[in-house]
Amino acid sequence: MVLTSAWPLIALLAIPALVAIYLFQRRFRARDVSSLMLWEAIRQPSMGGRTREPLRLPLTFWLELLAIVLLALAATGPLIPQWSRKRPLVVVLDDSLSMRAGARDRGAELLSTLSPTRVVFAGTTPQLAGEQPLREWTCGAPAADLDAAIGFATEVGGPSALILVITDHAPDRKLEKGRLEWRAFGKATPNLAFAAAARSGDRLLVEIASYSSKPERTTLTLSTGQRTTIELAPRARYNAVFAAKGVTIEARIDDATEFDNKVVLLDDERPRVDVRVEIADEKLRDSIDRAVDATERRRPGGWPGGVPPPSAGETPASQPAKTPALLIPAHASPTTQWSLEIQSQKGNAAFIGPYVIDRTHPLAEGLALDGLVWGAARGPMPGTPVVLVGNQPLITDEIVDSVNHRIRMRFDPAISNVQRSPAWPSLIWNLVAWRASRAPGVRAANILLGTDAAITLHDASDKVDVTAPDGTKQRIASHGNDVVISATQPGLWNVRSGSEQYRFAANPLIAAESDLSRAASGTWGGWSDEVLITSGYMSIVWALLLVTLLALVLHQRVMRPATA
Amino acid sequence: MNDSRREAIAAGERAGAGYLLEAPRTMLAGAGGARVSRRAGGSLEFRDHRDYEPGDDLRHLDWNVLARSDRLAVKQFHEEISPFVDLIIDGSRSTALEGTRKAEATLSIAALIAAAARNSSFPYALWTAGERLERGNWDHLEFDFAGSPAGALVSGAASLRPLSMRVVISDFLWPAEPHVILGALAHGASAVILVQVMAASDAQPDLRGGWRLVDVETGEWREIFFDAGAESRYRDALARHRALWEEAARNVRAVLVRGIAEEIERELLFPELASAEILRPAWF
Repeated sequence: MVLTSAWPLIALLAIPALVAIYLFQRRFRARDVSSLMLWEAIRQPSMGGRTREPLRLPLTFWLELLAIVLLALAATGPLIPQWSRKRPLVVVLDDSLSMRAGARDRGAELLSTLSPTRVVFAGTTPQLAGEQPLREWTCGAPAADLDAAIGFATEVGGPSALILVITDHAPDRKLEKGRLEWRAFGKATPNLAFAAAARSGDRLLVEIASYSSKPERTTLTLSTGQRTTIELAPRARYNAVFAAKGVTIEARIDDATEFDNKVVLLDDERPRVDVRVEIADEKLRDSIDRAVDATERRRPGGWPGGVPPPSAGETPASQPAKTPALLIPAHASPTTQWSLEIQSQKGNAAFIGPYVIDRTHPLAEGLALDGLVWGAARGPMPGTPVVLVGNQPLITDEIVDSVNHRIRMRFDPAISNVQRSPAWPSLIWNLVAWRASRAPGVRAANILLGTDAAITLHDASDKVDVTAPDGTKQRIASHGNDVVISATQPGLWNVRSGSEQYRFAANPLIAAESDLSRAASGTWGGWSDEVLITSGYMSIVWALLLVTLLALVLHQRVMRPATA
Repeated sequence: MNDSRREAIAAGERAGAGYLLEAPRTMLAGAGGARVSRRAGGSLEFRDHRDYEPGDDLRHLDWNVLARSDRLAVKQFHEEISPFVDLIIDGSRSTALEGTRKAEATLSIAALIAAAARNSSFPYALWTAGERLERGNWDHLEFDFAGSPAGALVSGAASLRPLSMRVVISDFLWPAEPHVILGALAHGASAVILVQVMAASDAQPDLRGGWRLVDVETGEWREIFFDAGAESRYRDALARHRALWEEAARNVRAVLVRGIAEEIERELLFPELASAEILRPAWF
């Protein structure tokens, strides 16, 4: 049974008053009778005294009590499920990390008492739960987009579905009664957490944030044995840099809220790229070399192993297997390896825009060409356009095979200023980083919880075996050499493909989840009568009022003076 | 005595002026009016012989029997009796229950029976049953005894005229054994007539809710909550009480008539007394 409003139950306070009236304030009118003999059979009401006797109250008391209870209950607008219909209830579960601070357990208790038709997990994107939502509810998402999840629940539940949100904080806006009930089980708690953790080369940076309104103290412990006691002012942050190279580092702090007290940082040294620039124009070659060197990803010493640059007819098999190579020639490269072909024919047109850039392409990240002059010969170019001006492609991308790309760029440095603008190093950076990312291995060994880990397999495979931090195993399909794994749990992930093994760490570095000052408990919104009635509930107010009426009629009959 | 009661007596006498009192057919012993008693008595009508016993009046010695059989025998004659009416009124406080017409109805019935007795040339004696059975006076009848008249009836019955018609007017709402009281009254009586006068509030209490009921005779009180259930139980108790008196009356062949005070004043129980053959119109 669902009560539309619990406030009318305050009317039950009339019951003690009724009892008091009957027990203490009854006024017995005196009357002389011929004899008490015939009245002996009538039970006396309770009287004070030393002997304990059961409470004896007249029928009218019980009828009045019944009327009060029924009227109070009727005022609450009780609704009961219709027998013939299953209640279409969709539960939205906040799957974010902050739910691990206790709200998840209390929400699970509520969920176990319900029989929802559907369960939706509210993470960064809504996700429909399977057969066992309680087991699947791991609360590993870096954020909970509850609005999106509610919208999704509305879609999957249909127009008559009731929606129940279980989370740990109050809604951002005032909720009126309708089809949405918001139940929060959180508790505002002072918390210390890792706000950032990164590793580069032989250095390791951790940042600890206080989400407390009072000074806090904690101890930072690294798996290398280093310990540091940290004093934190209210809502302050603390940075520390440590030397670390080659080994996996685990950092911990002491705090009552466990879920954000640990980070794992793997050695994240990406392989460098062998870059060879074969440009005759000295100025242009120099500008390319400087941009490549600025990426700090160029393998020193030139082409690996002193092997001469590949020439026409050579196959990529001659390259060392794990050394990514990038060739930047001024002519068409006959090989199938990665290359940026710069076609710098003269007598061309100078374009000033507007430039059309495919922002989804890795080369276009952060690339800004507005106001620049780009000189290039007119005419078509093979490949998918990445940068165009009008209908003239300036950069195209041609996929050679599952690994290699051939980039073509039509560019005349004599009438261009692009190579002297910030767009030039950006373009080169993107090219080198893209090439490096296509090397076998994990593209980023340390990622944020909830983001995707991308792995380039050394050998193409259909599926890979993934072991989550909690030990659960699953097989994930890969696309050629690429596999993308969603990091839904904090900790160390292991991926195996044949004999190759990869690892990455997902860390809960989410300030919004670690800051528990907004956590709250309570109920907001609620299901209105109209919605409940259309959702398989029926009102029983009429039945309660009918029974009340019968009780009052009986009361009147009992109290009616006897007729001759 | 207040005017209301005097008026009630006068009304009873006026109503009784046209009636004759009759001894009921269920007379216990003897005969009323000009009838002959089955008992030996002092009349001139011969009844039987019996052996002489010392102390017998020698005037009744039958000399003829002595001459024929040499046996002493005395002659017995029928006792000739004149019906006498002992009119007993319940003198307890419940007869004058406040807010009812019980006292007036009781006095009217008593005056009616007294007037009818006079018409029938039956002498009568007026009694009030209080702490004791005392001779009453129409001008000084008080209902002030704080208790049950049962004791007075049992103990005072012996002082009543032998073979008298004994008429008791009361509400009979006493916690006593009816057969004990009626047994005492019927002993030596020619007839026992019981007139039960109850108030409407005795027969059907007009109560709802909480009440403190005070027994006007004993002063005891009891708090009750009167509802439909209580009303039902009261009616059951009253029915059982009436049944006890009816059974006791049957056992001693007494006549029991009853009425409600507020209704008695209109008809003075004429139908009931007539059907019991106690009253008969004088012109009939």
